[in-house]
Amino acid sequence: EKSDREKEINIGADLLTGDDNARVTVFDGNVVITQGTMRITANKVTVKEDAERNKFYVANGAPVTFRQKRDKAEDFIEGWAARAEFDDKSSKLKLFDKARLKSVQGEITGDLITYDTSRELFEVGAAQPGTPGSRVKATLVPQKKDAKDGKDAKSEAKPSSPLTLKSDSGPATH
Amino acid sequence: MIGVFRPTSWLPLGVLALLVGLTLWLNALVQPAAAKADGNLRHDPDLIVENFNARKLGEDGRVLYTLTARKMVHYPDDDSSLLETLNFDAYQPKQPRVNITAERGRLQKGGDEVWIEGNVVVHREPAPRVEPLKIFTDNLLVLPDEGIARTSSEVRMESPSGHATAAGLELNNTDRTVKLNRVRSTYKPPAR
Repeated sequence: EKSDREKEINIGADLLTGDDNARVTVFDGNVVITQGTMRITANKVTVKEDAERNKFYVANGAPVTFRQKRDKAEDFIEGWAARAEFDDKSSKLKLFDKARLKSVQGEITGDLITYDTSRELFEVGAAQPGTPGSRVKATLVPQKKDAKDGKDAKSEAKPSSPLTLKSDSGPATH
Repeated sequence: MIGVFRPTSWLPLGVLALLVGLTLWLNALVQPAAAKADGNLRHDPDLIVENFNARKLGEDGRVLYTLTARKMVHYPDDDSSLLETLNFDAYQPKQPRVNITAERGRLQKGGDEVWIEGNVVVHREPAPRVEPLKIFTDNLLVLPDEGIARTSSEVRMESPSGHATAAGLELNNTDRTVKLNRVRSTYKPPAR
């Protein structure tokens, strides 16, 4: 939910290691980050800080899990990936390597899924655009309710056949 | 998504580094007394100072540290010293003032090990772009020569933007790192 961003952030971990010289903080072991309805779990989260003290997070896990309630629909969006990256400024969550994103509308997998948590939109692309063999697979399930709950990010698909997207022309994730 | 949270601005590195400075200074304070140690085996004090008050001045004559203790006792047999009701203030240049209070300070092995015990409260005052910070723990072992401060008892840290607890802490002042075991922290994202 959009209001998540104003909520308190809770982080728990077995070990925090802070390195003042490198301005890096590492949370190791059973890392759980929650903020409002958003919840991320990982084995390790590395937090880097730039000169303006903006934070860049890299979460590694087997897998990293992500879960957040959606404003637009009465459901949760869930994500999994070997690695997740996010930062303070943009509300974008990047899921890398066996990335999977699931909501009541369906599920999508790929090398790289970028999910904009405030606009609740996602882009799928190969980690390196055009790498051969990186397939994007999307299984779309039509809305059970009528489509009144606002235009959906994904177009409706025929219920029977899963839609398989080619990954080559996928929007390059900047 | 994740609001801004600033674990690094929180790290009590600078603050706990002062503890190391404190203990180095404490050593110097008690050394003169140690020189008079005689050989007897009983654990008798050879020096007792009531209302102990010491100030350390920088080259420019400004006060760097002040330390008060209700009592200081030195024992020559094991070259240890005990301070009661410790109150330490540090006025590092360009740094916010830091105050440390504790019920006792124990210097062991001629000051190579310093235990700061009993209701240890470290309080850093606010300064431009620096949040006030309070650290509470029951005891802290400081190894001045190695620049290490460590505790295995619970540590609680509080500042306006959040709070955290941990089941142990280790500060290494030489490589400027801090480790917190089983940390639970909560931050308020700054107003957007």
